[in-house]
Amino acid sequence: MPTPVGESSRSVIIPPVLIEGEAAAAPAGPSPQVTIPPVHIEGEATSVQRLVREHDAANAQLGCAAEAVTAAFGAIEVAGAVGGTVLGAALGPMGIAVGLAAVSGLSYSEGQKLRSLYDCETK
Amino acid sequence: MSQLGANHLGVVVSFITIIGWGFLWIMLESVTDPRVRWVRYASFGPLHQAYDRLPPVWGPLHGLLLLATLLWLAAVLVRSRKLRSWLFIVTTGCLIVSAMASARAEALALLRAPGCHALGFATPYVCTSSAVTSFA
Repeated sequence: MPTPVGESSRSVIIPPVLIEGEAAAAPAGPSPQVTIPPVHIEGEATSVQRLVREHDAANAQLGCAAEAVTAAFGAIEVAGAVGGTVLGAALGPMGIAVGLAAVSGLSYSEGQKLRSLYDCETK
Repeated sequence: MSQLGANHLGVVVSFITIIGWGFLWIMLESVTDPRVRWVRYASFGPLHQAYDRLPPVWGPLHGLLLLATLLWLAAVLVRSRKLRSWLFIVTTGCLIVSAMASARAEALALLRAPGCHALGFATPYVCTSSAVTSFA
């Protein structure tokens, strides 16, 4: 059986609360008190921590979904440029040069996207 | 590197990508390998870069990018080789105009408001106190 979080069985007495402005108008005399019986909350502290961790991880993954999709699209773009360079190599040095220009430009932006994804995941 | 320097580098890279892909699109028309079709499908990189550099406020540049996207889509899907070449040429022209206008808008935003810079469509502006010193 899991250990209860709180084992105290004392009642809690809440003092009366006066709204500002009513303090002067309040009648002099014994103020009413509310007594709440003790409440026990039972559960495993470790499972609660695990739930909190899972919730945080799920939120973090959702937050980085946009970056992940952008990086995935960037990878397709780079793959297309590499394929174009390989096929353009059949046309000679000009084909290779133009393909490398496209690959370098897309690789730069893909690097930026991967960096933003890494920053998001390690945040 | 200052924000202005990073902006200039990004603009140069965008132009290299657009012009590189523009030439590659046209040159690949001479290649008879059937795999060229798949390369064309994956050649949306310049469009994506142009989308990333769009100003946050809706304007003519968004229309221009939409036109370029439709032209690219038509070029990828059309069967006529001659028409495809022309469609790719016009798409490249639209992307160059879009990149020039976006670069100008970004540079103006940087110069008018030191410490603030436009990041793109999703995150319009970022202002940092350290960026102010990079302009001094």
